[in-house]
Amino acid sequence: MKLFLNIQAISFGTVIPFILMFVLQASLLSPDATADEPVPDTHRGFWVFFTDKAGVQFDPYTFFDQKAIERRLAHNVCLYDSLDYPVRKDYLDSLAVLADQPTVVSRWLNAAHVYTHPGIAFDLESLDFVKKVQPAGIRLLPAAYHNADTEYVSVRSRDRALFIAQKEHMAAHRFTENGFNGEGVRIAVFDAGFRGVKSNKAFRHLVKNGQIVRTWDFHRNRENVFAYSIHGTMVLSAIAGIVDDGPLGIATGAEFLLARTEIFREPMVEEKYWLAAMEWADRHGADIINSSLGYVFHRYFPEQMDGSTSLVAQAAGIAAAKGILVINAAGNMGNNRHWRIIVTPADADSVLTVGALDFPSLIRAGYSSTGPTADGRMKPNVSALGTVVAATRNRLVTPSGTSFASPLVTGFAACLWQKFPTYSNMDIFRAIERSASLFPYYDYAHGFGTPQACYFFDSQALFVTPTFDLVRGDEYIDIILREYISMHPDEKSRADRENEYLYYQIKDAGGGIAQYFVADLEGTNKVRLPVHDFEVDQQLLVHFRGYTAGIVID
Amino acid sequence: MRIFAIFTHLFFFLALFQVNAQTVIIAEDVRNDRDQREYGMNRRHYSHSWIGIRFVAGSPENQGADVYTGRSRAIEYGYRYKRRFSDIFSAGAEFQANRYAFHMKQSDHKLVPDPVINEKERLVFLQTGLGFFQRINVDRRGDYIGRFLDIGVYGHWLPHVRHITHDETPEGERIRIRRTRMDYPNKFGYGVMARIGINNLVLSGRFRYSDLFTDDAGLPELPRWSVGLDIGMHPF
Repeated sequence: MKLFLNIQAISFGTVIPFILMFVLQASLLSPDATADEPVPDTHRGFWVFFTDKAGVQFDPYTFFDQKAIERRLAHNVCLYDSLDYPVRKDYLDSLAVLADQPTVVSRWLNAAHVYTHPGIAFDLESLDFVKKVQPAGIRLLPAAYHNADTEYVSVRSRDRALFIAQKEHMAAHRFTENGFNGEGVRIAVFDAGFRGVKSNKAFRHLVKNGQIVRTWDFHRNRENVFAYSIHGTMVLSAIAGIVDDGPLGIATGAEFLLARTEIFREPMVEEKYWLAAMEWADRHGADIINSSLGYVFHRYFPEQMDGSTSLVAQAAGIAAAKGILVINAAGNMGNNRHWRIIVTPADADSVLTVGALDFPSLIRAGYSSTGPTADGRMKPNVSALGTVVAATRNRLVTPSGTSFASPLVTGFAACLWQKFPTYSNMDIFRAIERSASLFPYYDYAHGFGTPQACYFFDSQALFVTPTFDLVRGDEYIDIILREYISMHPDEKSRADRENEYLYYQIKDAGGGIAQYFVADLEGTNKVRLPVHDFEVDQQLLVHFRGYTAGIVID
Repeated sequence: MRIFAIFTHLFFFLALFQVNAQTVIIAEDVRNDRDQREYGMNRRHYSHSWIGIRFVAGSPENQGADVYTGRSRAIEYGYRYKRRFSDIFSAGAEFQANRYAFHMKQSDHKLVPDPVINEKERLVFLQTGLGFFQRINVDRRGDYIGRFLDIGVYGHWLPHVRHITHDETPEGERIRIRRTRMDYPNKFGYGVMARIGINNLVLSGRFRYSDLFTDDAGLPELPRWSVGLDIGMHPF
């Protein structure tokens, strides 16, 4: 047979769209491609971890921002933590001989991210000062969906209920009416870009008052982050935006560090930027880090969401140890039958993980990732509305995703920290959990529920009266509400509507949740559960209108 | 009257049911979540469908079988099963179904399927069959298809072949003739295939070893190469 390949003759008009798609995806999936420094195709990204930091000099007073020093002193965090010491220069110089110049150097991990040929990378492991070499390269997803855009600058009447609910489902008016707006608290926001922040009047107060303290684009290594994507713009607006109709978020007085840590709107990026941004935020005095991003199946398996496997989870743990409150979106993998659970770094123990609630039902949005972590820990920690009215470059939109639940809680945390300035990050973490609508009840869809500002202002909020009785019979366990539920919930406010749900769960003898349920008891006051559905020593735990009670099946 | 009684009973039954009912909005059994570890994009078993388009590439072996390479193409649908053996190696089988149309160039040398010159002419092969492939993955990845190279073989059954011509009579009347049940196409075919993929997007190429026409027909063989793009119908 005589064979000739005549590809030029193919109808390119037909295949061009496919070729463009392929090239686009190829570029998206090529973690090594940067706009500034092309990397040879044969090279891949690797993390090189070093053995020690012996002999390096470190002066925290020149390295850290004053605010970072104040935070450390306030929370009794050592100023001379070896994690903050620089990576040894002689190690980096030696590394540069064998590989390309490091693109990111992590003090916390004592590691450098380099591009090199895979064959060379594994040779690096034999060097005396190299502890281990780990392939890098990852895809990161912003936890957001886009709903229909509006072309109105002010809130449309049909979005008005949402506009009010996004603050009031946390009773945020208790903060604002008492003068708390996050002033004095510095929040770092990691995202894909903040396009329009300088031009949209929703952020005018931040620009005018110098509340945007620092910015950094970790991909291009420059200050300008006000381009590329509106995802960060929407997230920032949910923390601190103000429109004609009122504030979009509640921390309108906070200071901000804005970091661009990913490349595209639906980006492909490496966790190296997230790690570098974490150290940058610490250096510049961030009190809170809001990250509406998560790393999923492109690099990990669900069983690795254990809070210790991923580098970003490890870094989040270090940040928490340094007094920073890290707040992360739970992720939008709830509808993905192969994943479902929370993403990393939301799996880290010391990260306040925020799930999303549907509007107006105020139960878990289907897309919101659920717990527990791979090692069985409770996640998410709390929940907030996943659909918000948010500002983009020049208009208001109503996006959905755990991306927008996280900044609502971030704003809440900033106000809380302003109210209790002596609290440590973990004090704030626990206070937010304690204030949540379901506490001490929790499940893997809602965590402890929605944080409630009234918990910190109303002494009555601390008192709980029984709202139901548990009656154990021979064949059934009855949950009998003390008040009959109205058949007309539309007449009730949104917050009351959340209170109409009955939450109950079955716990194993070991304490882990085996099954959990949320039921709408509209039109009834009793739920009957067959005893034979339970195993011996299992516990039934029930929550209704702030009251939690349980019964052990013997 | 009897119908009225039935409805009355039904009404009271439903009313009674509603009074004692709870509407379960969320019901999660956490124990089940921990059992699904065998199936996934980079787990032991995975299957997905795909769609693709391939274009004829290369020249015919003999004169008389020239085709328009751009217009001559296959539209394909398939379903693929993949078994993972290690982080690098997987193997699998796939069902394929395609419609492969060859648009014949009309020249004095034309022989396929006959020497008659028409205004337009095409041979359409409806094919279905199986393929088997070996996959080599590169790059560390999570539960994700990633970057891969496939090499494999395929076998097709060609249950239906159509020969379609378009002409115009001297009177200006347009005539479309569609012939089926010809005796010159082979009923079976086979070949080799290779693919390079990045997750959902796959560049594929095939080479047909078998002849499309029977030996008795004595027709020159149509081009054997085809290249194109597949899109895997699985999460990005």
